[in-house]
Amino acid sequence: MPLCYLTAGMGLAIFAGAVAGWARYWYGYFVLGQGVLAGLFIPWAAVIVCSTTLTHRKTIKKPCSITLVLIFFACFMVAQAVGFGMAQPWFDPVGWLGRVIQGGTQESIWGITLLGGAVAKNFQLGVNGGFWIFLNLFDLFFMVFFLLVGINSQPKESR
Amino acid sequence: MITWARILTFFVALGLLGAGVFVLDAKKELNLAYRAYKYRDMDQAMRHARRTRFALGNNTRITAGALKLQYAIAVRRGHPEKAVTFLGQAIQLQPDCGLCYLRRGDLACTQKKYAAALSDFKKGFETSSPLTPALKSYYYARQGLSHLAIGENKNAQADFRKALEYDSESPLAFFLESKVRDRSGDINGAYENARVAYGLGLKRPGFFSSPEGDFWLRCYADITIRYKAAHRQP
Repeated sequence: MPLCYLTAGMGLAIFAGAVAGWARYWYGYFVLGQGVLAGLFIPWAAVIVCSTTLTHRKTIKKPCSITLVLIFFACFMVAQAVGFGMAQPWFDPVGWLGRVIQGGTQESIWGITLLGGAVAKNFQLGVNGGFWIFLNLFDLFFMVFFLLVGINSQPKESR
Repeated sequence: MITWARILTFFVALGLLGAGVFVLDAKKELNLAYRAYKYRDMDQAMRHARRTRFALGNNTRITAGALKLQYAIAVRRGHPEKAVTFLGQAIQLQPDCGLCYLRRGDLACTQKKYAAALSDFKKGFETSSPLTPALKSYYYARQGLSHLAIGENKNAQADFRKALEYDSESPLAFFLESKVRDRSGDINGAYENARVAYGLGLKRPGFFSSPEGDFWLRCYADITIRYKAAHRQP
């Protein structure tokens, strides 16, 4: 596991997570968009930062890439909670998580809130509970998938 | 040609999405905040109220309304320091908001900052627009408690009379008088007032279940015990 790649990836995951958390508080949750963007951005930017240390055609072996994904994912999630909490008027991301799961509050979702008619009336303030958990798992699945793809992808061979 | 058309379509769609999400309407945001508050969703109410600050069509009235809502949410969520900040910002926007001063005075009284509380109560009664008698009575009683805390018993008693003038069945006013009597060593008068206050408090829904309700119950119990001890036959 290249140390530069690991360090840069962790830093980028923390940065992406903090930005995602902040944006999630102020503008709502972009289901699929957030996961895909973060999943592609972290390994892509890490390769750019550490391009000198990566040897071309050398792939990172599978157990190592899984470990990397888990580390980046954990960093992203913790940073996202911190970013969300920093955007709140008082730092309470865990309390908010409990409330949204129990139905005490709702989270605005991109797209749903922009729709008109009955959908907007019902979901204008957002979603919570089981539907919220489903949307998160859906998004996070894509994030992990793209992290795996990104970590195992090779930079283009220079001509 | 088709490539350029695709690129243009992509950016137009992205622009529309961005405009829909990032360009906010202040009035709509405030209405959403009130709606969320009505449904007791304090997180969303706070979020929408805060979003009015950087939304389009924002003006002093909307911002002040959002700040007052944020104050109410902060109080409900148990963050009095934040609530004081929000009220301070609302006062800066609307210096003639008498109720804002009274509310801030009430919070300062709860935080035991009595000098600040009395200053705010004074400004609040001077500039306040017409209040309901019950509300006026409440704030006079709170002013009286602040006076009592800094040892101005006479002013506290004057506040008690004013509080009773506006609401003759205010349990807070009778508790205040009970404390004034207790301070001056009149345990009989203190007990009588505390007994009346307790009876009125039981009739008023939410009085004893409010955050300060427990304090008043303890106060009643304490005065009752001391009164009974004073009248115990040897």
